Amino acid sequence: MMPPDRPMLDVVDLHTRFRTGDGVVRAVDGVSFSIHRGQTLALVGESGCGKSATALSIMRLIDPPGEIADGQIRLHSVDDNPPVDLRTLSERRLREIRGRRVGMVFQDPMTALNPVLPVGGQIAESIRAHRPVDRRRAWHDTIELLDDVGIAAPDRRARQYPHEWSGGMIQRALIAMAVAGRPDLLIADEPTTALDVTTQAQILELLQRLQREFGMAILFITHDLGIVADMADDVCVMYAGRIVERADVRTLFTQPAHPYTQALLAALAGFDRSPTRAEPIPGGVPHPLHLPDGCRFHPRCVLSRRLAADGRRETAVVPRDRESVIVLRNCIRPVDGRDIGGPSLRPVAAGHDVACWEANDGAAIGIARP
Amino acid sequence: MPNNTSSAVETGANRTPRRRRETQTYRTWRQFRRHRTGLFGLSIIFTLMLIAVSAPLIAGNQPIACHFDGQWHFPALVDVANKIPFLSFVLNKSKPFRFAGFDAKTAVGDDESAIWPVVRYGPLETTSDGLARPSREHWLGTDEVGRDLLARLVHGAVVSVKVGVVSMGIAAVLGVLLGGAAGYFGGWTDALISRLIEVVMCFPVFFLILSIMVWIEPDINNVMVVIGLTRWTGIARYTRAEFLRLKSQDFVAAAVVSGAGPLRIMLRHLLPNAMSPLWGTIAFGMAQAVLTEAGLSWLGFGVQWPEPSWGNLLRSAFEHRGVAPAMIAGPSVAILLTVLAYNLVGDALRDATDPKRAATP
Repeated sequence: MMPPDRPMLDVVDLHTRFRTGDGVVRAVDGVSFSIHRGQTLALVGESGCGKSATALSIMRLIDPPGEIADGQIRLHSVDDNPPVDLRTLSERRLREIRGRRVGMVFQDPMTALNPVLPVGGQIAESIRAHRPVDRRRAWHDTIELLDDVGIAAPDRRARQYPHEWSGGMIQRALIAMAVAGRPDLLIADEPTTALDVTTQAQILELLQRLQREFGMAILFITHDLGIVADMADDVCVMYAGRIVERADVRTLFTQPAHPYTQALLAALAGFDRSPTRAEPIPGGVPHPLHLPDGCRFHPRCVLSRRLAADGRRETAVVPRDRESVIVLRNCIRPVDGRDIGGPSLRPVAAGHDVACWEANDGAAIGIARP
Repeated sequence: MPNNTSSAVETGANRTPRRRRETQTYRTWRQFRRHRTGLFGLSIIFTLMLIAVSAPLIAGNQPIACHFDGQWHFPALVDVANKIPFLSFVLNKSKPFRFAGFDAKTAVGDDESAIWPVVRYGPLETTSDGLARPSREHWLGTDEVGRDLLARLVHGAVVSVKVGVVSMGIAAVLGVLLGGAAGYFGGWTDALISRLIEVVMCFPVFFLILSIMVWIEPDINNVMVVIGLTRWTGIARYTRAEFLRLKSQDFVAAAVVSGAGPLRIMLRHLLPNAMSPLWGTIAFGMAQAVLTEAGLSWLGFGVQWPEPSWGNLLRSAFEHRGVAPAMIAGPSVAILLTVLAYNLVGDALRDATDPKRAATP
């Protein structure tokens, strides 16, 4: 593995929120991470935990009523120019960065191309958007790109319309489009979710090959831990708008420290080839307008529950919404009832950060399957 | 034999069958084609347009072709050509087709070799035979100063076609620009344009046009501009809604992240996708425009007498309804057919571009 040099992208304390009629949804609530050149960072979590909102924030694609409220999105350049903050960049300069320095691949290939324009035309158009080439040259490059991403008979295929292509082919075309400008960073927002498994593997292989060829960093968003193990160098696990665990891929899979990460791994059927049943995580992601006090995961947390059942943790009856519910006082903290928000990331080992007050490391908690 | 078939299957599997390019327009046309009434309407409109363009060849006092003084002349053809800007320029430069004071009727007698239009009267040509009944000479009769009504009807078609196309052209451009800006930019732009649309829609359009026409010169060009300036709201609302819907589609985001600017997004990605529901609206608008023009001309605010238009033909028929009741047939049937045709085409277009129907092959 190449030594991690300067980061390509630094996201620092990113806050993205959506003003709705019922209140403010904090979709991304203080997320920080770095991606290094040539490396892949995976952003993992259940649906609705803020993975895509993070990606869209980096691309500045958050439209009102959403806004990026706070934080920095520092994009470093390959040469020694100072980094730019994508959050405060003007729309005009942002356009120069989109496609040329940061590319993006979307989740659903069937809706990511304009249905009334031929596929090749759309790729050629994106080539011409950031390189001063004429139509013929752009078309020529388009055919080459399509050939490169494994489209058979690219010159004939390029003249066809998106509905004449299969999902896997379109995803290849979209990847071709995203890397046309040779970006330093590629954001892949669940690029294989809408595809069948064999196509998934081909697309992942393609992404890895292109990463080797161009040396670009990839921010890979997925809920599929199998893909994470395959693709990622580093992993950030997100829950309810926050990063709850951050580690390199080996550490995360062998010594998961956060109960949520452990639960995710336990939910992965046959991950270690043991003949056990997959263990679902009880409950669901909390409603973004009614987040639990304290640690946002504690209502679903096995560790929290077990510690309380063992009598090793204090519980308290706290009135909330006209009902009294028993909650774990120690996962809310402090005891005087003032909510200080959840736990923040703290290192448990070198390069391994966890946002949990109780976890020490994976072994200590030992959430094992039955 | 079995060997032959299997190899044929193999080669067949290797190349996809050659078929017609599936563009949006082609798909719409395929749907439209199945609509019999729509095709009927379309054929009426095409016929009408053909009549309008070649009006001097159908009714006029100039021969289509005649041999005179050792030379061939094509006076009526020149009349047609003169309506087409570029062609008239070339013709006038190249050769004097018609010399000054050429009176074909007296110069070319019936014995001379000449091809005449079906109706040998011009739309403004008076005869001594006023308010005549339909006859072999005047198929639809004549008006109070003896002008052939069929000739006037044919030349009146020009106005109807022009009004439909030009006024809806103005309305479409205005509507797409304003509605598109409102849908794409949102915020204040949207609020402002949406309020403007609502204000314009508040007025009953015909009376709005009437009250504008009172203040300006009653002229066909003014009528077209005024209809265009008041009929854009429906198109604008459609465009705004379509842009709003399309703006949040993935392919727009994909275009944005590959570095496309707002103008490219609007023209290349939003507009082509937004057009299909607009065609129906435009066709209905044309029917409305034809009716509005006829109404204005009937009231005397549109095409000015003695220039023919279906509206003022209807007016003069109405004034002489006691003496010559047959006068009313021509213009009323013409208006009815035209409006019906535009509406049928609009209906068929609306069905053809309906995504719920497009799924059927």
